[in-house]
Amino acid sequence: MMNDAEEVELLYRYVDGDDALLHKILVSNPARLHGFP
Amino acid sequence: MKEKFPDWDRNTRPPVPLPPPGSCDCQVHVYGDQNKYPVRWNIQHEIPDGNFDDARRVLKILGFSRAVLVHPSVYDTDYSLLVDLLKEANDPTAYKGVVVVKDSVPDKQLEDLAALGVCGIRFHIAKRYEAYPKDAFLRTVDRARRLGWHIRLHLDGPDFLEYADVLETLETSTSSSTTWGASISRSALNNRRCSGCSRCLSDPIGG
Repeated sequence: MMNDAEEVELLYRYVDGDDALLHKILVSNPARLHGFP
Repeated sequence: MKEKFPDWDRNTRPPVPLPPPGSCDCQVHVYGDQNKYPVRWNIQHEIPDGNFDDARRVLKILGFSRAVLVHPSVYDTDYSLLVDLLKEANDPTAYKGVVVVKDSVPDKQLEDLAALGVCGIRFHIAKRYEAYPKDAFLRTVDRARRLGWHIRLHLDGPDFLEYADVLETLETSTSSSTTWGASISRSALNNRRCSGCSRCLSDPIGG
């Protein structure tokens, strides 16, 4: 059964500890693409 | 018989650590009461039991303060559920929307949706969906451009190749007012095809 927290933690593994990349994926790129302030 | 929608753990926990402040779930589907929001398009799976309260609760637990509500394809161009959700949320700093568009949708309706926070168009291009002619695709991309919206593509691998000739034209015909990029949803992380998307995730979104 899917667990949402585990999916997020899987993303952490994909970026391999790169906090800047994680911020780009989760925060700055979505903000830019969707027009969030 | 329709395919049963996979269930999920409804008692989720916070991830360790929490995601950075301002994190956004870019692909959230919300379904409504079928009596009030009837299905408009023949679907291959049962309508899942997942309403807006469920979504907001999970997003809060996971540490996501923003979300993009992608109107499920089952509602086709009946946007009534999404309109009601965005009005209920009443927070454009936290919620945006993405819709499916067809030629039959008037420009005024798209402008009204934009005022509520809709900011993109989603295309389902795969043999398992209703056919989407290439000329209609390009017309709709142009409508997105005029609105300043982005486009997102929901493609299966073979269909991507079939559409390659059209997709290649987008970069040369795109003005600075249009963007298209890869936004990865939590649900996509389990898809092996996304393992090759690391370049997309790190490349800046451009127009």
